[in-house]
Amino acid sequence: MKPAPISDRLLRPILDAFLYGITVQNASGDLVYMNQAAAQLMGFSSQKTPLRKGADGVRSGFLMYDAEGNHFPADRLPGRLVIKTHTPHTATIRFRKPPSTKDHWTLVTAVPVFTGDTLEGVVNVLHDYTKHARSDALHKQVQEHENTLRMALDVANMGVWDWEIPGNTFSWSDGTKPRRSLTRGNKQGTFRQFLNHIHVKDREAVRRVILDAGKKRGKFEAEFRIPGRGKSHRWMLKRGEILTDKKGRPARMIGVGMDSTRQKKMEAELAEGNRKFRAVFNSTNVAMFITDTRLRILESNTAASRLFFPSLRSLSRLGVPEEVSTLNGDNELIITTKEGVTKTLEYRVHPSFLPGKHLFVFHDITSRADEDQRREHLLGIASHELRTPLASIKAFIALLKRKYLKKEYEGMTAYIEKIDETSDSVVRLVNDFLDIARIRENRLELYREQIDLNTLVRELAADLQLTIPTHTLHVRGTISTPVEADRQRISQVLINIIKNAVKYSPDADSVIIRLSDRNGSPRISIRDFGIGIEKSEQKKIFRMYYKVHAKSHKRIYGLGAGLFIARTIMERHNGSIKIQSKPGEGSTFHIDLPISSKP
Amino acid sequence: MKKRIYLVEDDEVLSEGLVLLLRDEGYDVTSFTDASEMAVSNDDPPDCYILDYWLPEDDGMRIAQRLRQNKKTKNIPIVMISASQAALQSGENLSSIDAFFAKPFPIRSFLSAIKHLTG
Repeated sequence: MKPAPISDRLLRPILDAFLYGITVQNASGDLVYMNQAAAQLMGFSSQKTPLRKGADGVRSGFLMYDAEGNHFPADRLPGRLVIKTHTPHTATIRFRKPPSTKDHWTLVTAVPVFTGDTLEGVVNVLHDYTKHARSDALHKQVQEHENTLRMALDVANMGVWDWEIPGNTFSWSDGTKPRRSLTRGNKQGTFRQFLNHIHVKDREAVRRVILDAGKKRGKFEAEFRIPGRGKSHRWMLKRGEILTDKKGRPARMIGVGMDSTRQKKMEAELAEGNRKFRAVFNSTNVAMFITDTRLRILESNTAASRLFFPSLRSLSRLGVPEEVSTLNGDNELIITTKEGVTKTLEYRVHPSFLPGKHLFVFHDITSRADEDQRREHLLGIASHELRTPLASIKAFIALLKRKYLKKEYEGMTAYIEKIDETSDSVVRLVNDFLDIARIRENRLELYREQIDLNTLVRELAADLQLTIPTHTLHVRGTISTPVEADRQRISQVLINIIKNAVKYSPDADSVIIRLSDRNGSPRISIRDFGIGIEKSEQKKIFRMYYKVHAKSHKRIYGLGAGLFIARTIMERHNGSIKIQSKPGEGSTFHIDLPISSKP
Repeated sequence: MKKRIYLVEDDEVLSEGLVLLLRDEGYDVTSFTDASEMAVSNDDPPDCYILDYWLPEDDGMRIAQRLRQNKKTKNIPIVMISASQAALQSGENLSSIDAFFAKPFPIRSFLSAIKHLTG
């Protein structure tokens, strides 16, 4: 039995009552019917308007996308495909009807209607699931965010708190237990109850901070204690922000809290360490500076400001070399204090004791230096008194030589020579003592005159050669400019260096003295082929009382102050003395004088 | 004829040594321990004076200046010997002397300087 056909008049109200949109196209694709839901969905004001040829309901101006958000071309509409293929089609289409900015998520199903074998038309069913699509996606997104955040908070040992102001519902967590929800702490109550949870001493301060932030609608930060068992407590650091409602009234205060107990403890330890350091730093009478690598002073202690000018900005000003790696061990420095007192300081550097920072420690050794100076002064006086007797000794030795340096007194000759050599050593000692005393008391004065170094050096070498049988002194090169210098003092330096060169090259047979113009300034270089000096020792040899420890050598008379005196003499000339040396290959001493040394 | 030298040196030992050396070199040496003993207005002055810078009563530099002011002695060479370099350091006018030796000096150069000055 065929069911009785339902009349058109009866069908239409039934279709209009449907929640799904239903449209009918004829075999040419013309839209011939749509129910109320379809008209509403596609934005038609009446069901009759669009019934025209070729229009399958898709109005120009429709924006259509597929589920992924790509453009959806009209020829892929299920209705059109059904007409082409005579088989049902379905598609998810997101469309928008400008000027509206709302997207409609629609599932479109199109089925062919046949009469016998002939395609009569197409029935489209449109299911608008926008609401579900939206809430599903949003929900999923929110959930994902929440999970990530919750994990992050748990890892960071942070808690959340949330105060819904109109309802005065406060929820918080102390950041120590994992939470089930992001916006819900594991404790709940009113604002007052939240405050009661805080250490009584911090309560009022926290209340004020939060209420102030509420009034100002701003962000805030509060740190407070939460009492634990017994006398212990934990520190919490809370940061929050006020959210306002549509009318701008504070509606909600939301934020995160962090257990800062450990941080607080570390801060306290750090502060204690710092206090201890400060106490030591400032109470010691050892002057200390912390500088950057350019020796600019970053910090100085009380002793340092007592000793030095407070205006001191950089240690370079005191003559401390920037190349601190050269400053191993103790170094000496003479300064004049703000009271005008001359002080002798000994200093040490701890390079890079903090990244990019040096620590300098200065000891005032003035009293020790004063003692040295007194001793040297006495030695100076004693030496002075020795001069006349020594002159007598030399005179009588000369007389002895005249009488007894003859064949018949052969045995005597050696003794006389020994006495002569020994008296020469005493003379050198006396001269060194006197020079040191002069340097210490700043009495080493220069008597400058114009000197032709070519002549001076050649004459001096010729004189010295008479007393040096073991080595040949070769003088090479020339210096083109005369200098203003103390003839006697420069000679003293040269004699010292040349004699050293001979002394420390026992297996060699020559010493080369080279004269040159170095960048226009006179330079005298004295090269030996002897034992040489280790790099680490090279700086020290110009210090007072230094002596090269050569085991293979017999003890050499002298103070070991010769190079110290030589250095001082050169410095007074505004010149310098430098050494280049390699152990086993010998040494070269460069004596540099400025073109015109002015007093 | 032997060259004549006046030596003024208060240290007797040094004085003796220098006198012996100079005599050995062929000089006629007269020594004094004090300048006052030396007759400055001597009508017959020596060929060279050797003066100690520091003397008990007077200092060598003042004696040298007096000798320079005297017509008869103003051209006679003067050699100064001194235990200190103060004479040099004080920046005093050294034009009145011909040679300066700081004690203890090398005998060889001392003697050659005197030989040169009296030659």
